[in-house]
Amino acid sequence: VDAAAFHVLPGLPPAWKSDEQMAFIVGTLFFVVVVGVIDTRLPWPRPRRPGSQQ
Amino acid sequence: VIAGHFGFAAMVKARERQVPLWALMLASVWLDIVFVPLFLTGIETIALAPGAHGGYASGIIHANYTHSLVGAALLAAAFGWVCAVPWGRRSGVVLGLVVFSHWVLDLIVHRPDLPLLPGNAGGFATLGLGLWRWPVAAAAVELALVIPGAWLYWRAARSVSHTAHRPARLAALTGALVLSGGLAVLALDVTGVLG
Repeated sequence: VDAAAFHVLPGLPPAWKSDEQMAFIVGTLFFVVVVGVIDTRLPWPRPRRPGSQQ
Repeated sequence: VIAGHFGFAAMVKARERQVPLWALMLASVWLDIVFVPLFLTGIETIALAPGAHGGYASGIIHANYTHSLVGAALLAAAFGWVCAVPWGRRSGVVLGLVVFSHWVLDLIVHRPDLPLLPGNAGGFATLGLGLWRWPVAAAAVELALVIPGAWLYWRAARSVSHTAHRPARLAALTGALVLSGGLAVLALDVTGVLG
């Protein structure tokens, strides 16, 4: 857990009270999606599925 | 420590190449993802450490379910088990271990706030080596995960591209994204933009 991303404020969900914090969380998730999508285009070996003969 | 967790995920990808990077990154912060709804409902909380003023490395985190030793192990086992269904046992084990690596890295940086049992049952002593008391050192540890992680990832991506007779541009682009994204997350975190 990173306290900076979940700043402490009373009442409503703290992370929703700050535009910067929400932007950080959404941006981090967007980063994972973008990097993940590009990574899947690389010729990595495929995961060996259960029961496959690979 | 979000950037540090991502850096570790990139390191693992360089070795366990069959596991998708997005799944490794998701696994590396899975405990925090489960933490969010518990935090929003007040079941798990964060308080400021004495003398701290908010921002990076300032929290005492009462994540007594998601970040307890046994809770983290259970979440890791569940994540790995689910992933083993489509991707096989080895990938499931790898992803489960990456989930649990989150607890180990948090153990290094957290002040003593990590319980042994879910809900801090039994009232045992809580764990944490407290590197966050020295934020510069904590940030250096994160850097030491992000930079080598991105480099190892790029080297592995370049290698598989070369083997498949594909241009290395995409490998370079992804490696650069892993590095720049990790550094950006760390910079936003450390500079207090968030808090």
